[in-house]
Amino acid sequence: MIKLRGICRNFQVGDQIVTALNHIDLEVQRGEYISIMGPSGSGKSTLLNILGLLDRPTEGTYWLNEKDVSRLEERTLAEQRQRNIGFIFQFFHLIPRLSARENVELPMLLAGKSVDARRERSRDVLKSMGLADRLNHRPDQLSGGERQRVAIGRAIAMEPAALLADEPTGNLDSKSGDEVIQVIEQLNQEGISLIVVTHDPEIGKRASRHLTLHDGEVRCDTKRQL
Amino acid sequence: MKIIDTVRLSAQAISRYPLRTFMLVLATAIGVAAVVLLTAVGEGARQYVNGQFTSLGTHLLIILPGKTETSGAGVTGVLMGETPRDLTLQDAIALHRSVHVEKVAPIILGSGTASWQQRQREITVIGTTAEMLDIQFWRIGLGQFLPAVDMDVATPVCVIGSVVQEEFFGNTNPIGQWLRIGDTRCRISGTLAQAGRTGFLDSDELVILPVANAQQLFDAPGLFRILVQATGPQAINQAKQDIIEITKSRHQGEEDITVVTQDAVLETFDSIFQMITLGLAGIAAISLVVAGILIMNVMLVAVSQRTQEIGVLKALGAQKHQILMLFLTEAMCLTGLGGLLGLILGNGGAELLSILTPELNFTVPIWAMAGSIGMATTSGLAFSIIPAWHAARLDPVSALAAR
Repeated sequence: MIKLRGICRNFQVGDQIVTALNHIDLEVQRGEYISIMGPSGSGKSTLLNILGLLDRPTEGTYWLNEKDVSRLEERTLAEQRQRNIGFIFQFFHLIPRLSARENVELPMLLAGKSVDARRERSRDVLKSMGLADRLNHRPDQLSGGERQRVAIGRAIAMEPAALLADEPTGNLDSKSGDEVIQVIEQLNQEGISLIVVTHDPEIGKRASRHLTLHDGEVRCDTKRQL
Repeated sequence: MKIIDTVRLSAQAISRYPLRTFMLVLATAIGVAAVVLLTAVGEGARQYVNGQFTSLGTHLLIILPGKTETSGAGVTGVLMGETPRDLTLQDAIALHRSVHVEKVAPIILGSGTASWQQRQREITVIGTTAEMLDIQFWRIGLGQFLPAVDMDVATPVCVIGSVVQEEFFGNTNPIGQWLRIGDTRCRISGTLAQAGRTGFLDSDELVILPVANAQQLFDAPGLFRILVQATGPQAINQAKQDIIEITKSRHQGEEDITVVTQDAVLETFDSIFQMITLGLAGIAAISLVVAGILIMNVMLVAVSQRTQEIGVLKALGAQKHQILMLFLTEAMCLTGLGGLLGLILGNGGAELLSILTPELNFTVPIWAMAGSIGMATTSGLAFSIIPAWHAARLDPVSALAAR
């Protein structure tokens, strides 16, 4: 589903050019569960942003579903992102003034889905997250674990092929963190590709395939099956 | 994204920051209210003046001696020291020949000393005819107006205004009393009811004599004006032509009079007041531009406050134009609310002014309401384009990382 060839990403910092990613080659099959680990500044997040079409590579080619997306203009990129990618973040990034349900409906609203379809889907998604009684709560009325589950609901509302998580448990206690991991692993078992960036080796180990980055290069890639 | 969703999202953002919303709405409202109120004042003044002119008589023509024009034959005359030929009583009598002329009132204006018993004062004296009563819409208080005799017949009678009556006679019945004016004496046949100033004469302060008596009193044959009432509003133009023709034939073919129709005067005043109103509205509109700059400032702050949110929207697949629309809609909602509040305040203010000054009626013209609302939203839109564009162009990765 995802194929990267010779991906480089350079940043200009003052007069210097910093290489965040250095000729990355990677293939991800549908339904895979991958953890990306590595020290700070190794390029984990940059790789995730490029995979999630939030960022474009300086060099190299990215095929998403056999389509070259590395040189798309912003408009088409946003469409591809909407259709194929779901994001969850360390700090949840829910819109504070919207209810749980409205947060989940947001991507569908941006995609122009009808009100009925939105309401039905948001209810189903939040129900499956165990948040059926939290539909109309605003984020500040929810616990951290609940907030992250709302964020997951928002990420999968458009039924994307891949779910990208950037330190999804980094801001949660271990119990809530476990719940969140269970939720996304459940989604993975239902067929979604799951890519998790994490510092935590405990969480990293749970993935079926481990990718370790170091100085913008892939140091280690295990293709281990469950 | 549907329009209704955009509006709803904007409305939610607006209600999230009540203080900010209140201040922006207030700024816009003050601007709109200022435009609305000042326009109402201008319009009120215009209507007042219009009303005053209408009270002069609806189909009135005023004849002045001399031709007023900016170019032509007048120059030699001025150099030779000529003054325009007088309008005479005979000219006035001749005007009755036109079928379009209904009433003619020649006017001689002057001042003289009036006295009765020991009381004495300077007064304005007007010589005219019985028809003046209807032309000026004067009302009789006591007795009767001047006798309806031929213009050139002098009869020693006069009619006095209410102030003159009050000052000379107090509670005494003035009818039949002999008032001395200059060297002549005349018997008071009636008084005018109190009316206040209408047009160019304050009838309360007048003493009215038959025109022939006034000619003798001032020893001047020339008339100050001739007022003519046409048979109807449609007859005004024909009456004007007739007047010019008749006078021309009596003045050796020379067109040496000016005929002012009320329409012309009215139009002039109307356009003057319209300019004043527009000027007032324009000055008030500056405050809308100031409100626009405030909106720009606040929207820039809003964009930087919500940078992360914009990053999230982009991560969820929001297009540039969708983010642009969200912020523009937010600004439009704010200015729209402000505009509505401004209309309410402005109309309320105009209503209040009308109550405080009963003789003036301040109504807000529709064009001022539509214009100020349009101007407010346009300025809100124009000044929020830069912040909204700024938001739309944010890079999603750095927007998400913003703190």
